[in-house]
Amino acid sequence: MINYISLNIAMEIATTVIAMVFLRYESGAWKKMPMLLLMTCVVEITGRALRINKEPNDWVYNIYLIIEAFFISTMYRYLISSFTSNIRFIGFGGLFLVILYIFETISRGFSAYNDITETVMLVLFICYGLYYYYLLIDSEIYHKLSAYPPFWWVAGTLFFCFGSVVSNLYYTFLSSRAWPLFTSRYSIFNYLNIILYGFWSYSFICRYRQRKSIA
Amino acid sequence: MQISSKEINSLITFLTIVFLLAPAFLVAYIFVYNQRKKRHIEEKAQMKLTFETEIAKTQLEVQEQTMQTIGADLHDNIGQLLSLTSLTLNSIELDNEAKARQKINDSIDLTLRSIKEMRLLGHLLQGDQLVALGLPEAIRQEVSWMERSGRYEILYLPGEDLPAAGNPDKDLIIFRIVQEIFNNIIKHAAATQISIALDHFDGHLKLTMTDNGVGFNADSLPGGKAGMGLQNIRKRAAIIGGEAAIISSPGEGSRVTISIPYP
Repeated sequence: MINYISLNIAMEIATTVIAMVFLRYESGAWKKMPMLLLMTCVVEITGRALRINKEPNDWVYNIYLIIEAFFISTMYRYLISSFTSNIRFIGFGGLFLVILYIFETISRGFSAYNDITETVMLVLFICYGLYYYYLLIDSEIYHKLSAYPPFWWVAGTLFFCFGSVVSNLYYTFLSSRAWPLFTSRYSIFNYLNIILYGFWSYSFICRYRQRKSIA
Repeated sequence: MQISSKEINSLITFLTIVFLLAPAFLVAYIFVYNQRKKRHIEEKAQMKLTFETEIAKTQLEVQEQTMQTIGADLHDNIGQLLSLTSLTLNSIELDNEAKARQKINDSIDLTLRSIKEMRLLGHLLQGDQLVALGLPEAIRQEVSWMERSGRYEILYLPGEDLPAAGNPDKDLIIFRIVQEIFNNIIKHAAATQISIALDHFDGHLKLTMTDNGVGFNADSLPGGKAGMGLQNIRKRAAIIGGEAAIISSPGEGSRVTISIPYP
């Protein structure tokens, strides 16, 4: 059983617990975060179990791609809507991802990982994050950023997306050529996950404190 | 040239680190920008506080000026009229009916003048409420008060294109500037003719006050209260986003022009 729990999965479980504890009274998009993290844990454990048993696991991550795209887009939609009502572009982005996902699945089969969809999704999330930061600094309202939950949530997401894009691009466009196998992808993702879940956990704690101080 | 797996790993790791620098710089920049935003908000709040303090101070000064005018008027004008009435009534000799009738008529006349003066004082007692009537009307009241002294020939030209809806805060400050200029004329100018023009164009209110008094060297403002008065005019105009130009030279009177975004 212990073989199924890697450092990455241990971090995801810890972040899920933090989210469940600190976001238990939340509503809206924040409330969905523990759900996303729980599903992430299930997917990661399943994926690892399949890999250990030498079974293909790409289809699990293909399912997870839909979950990830939905939950992260919902969160961005929620955060951006606090500054502007013009959030239709997130819907269009989602629609574009769905079309790309279907196209990639049909052309390559469900057992092959949809890495083009993932790369496009990461780029979209980077754009949403940059737009959110633009709205944040353009706003008249001052927020103490060191304790402002959305800021840290977006920061974690941006770090993860920026970092993932390089190895994803390699994986998507270069690995098919006669180039040697890129093996450090897993360890890069481990480091990126540490950053992502570290920032997210901190944002959940900030959110809890914020809620407590308002109450 | 063959690329080894180790080289690819190093390259991708290096590129990932380079890519991570972008969000790191972005987050740092937003922190710095946010601190600037905080300082800007604090400065704005401070400016608002200064403005409100200045408005309250101006209000007090207008009230004080009104009370001084009323005090002086009661002493110099109404007091004198009533004393004269009392003296006239006391000097009536009942056995000389024609003379007594004349003195009674004089007393009635003096009393009526006192009543008229009291009515005018009643208007002034409203003090800062004068501004509520609108800036042109408030200045008109001040002008008629000055004219009553008989020492000044005043030409008042309120423009016809003044906006119907004014700005109460700005009106109060402009009115106080007008009072301040009148005070300077009374105390230092020894003028006989004063002209006041109030115009509005290009979203700006222009107040021009000219006198034919002794004038002064505008380049080197005198110290003490007189200099303070002129500095106050400049400071007050600046508080409401305007500017004051003071042109004067010895023997050639003076001209004060105030231009303020209005309303």
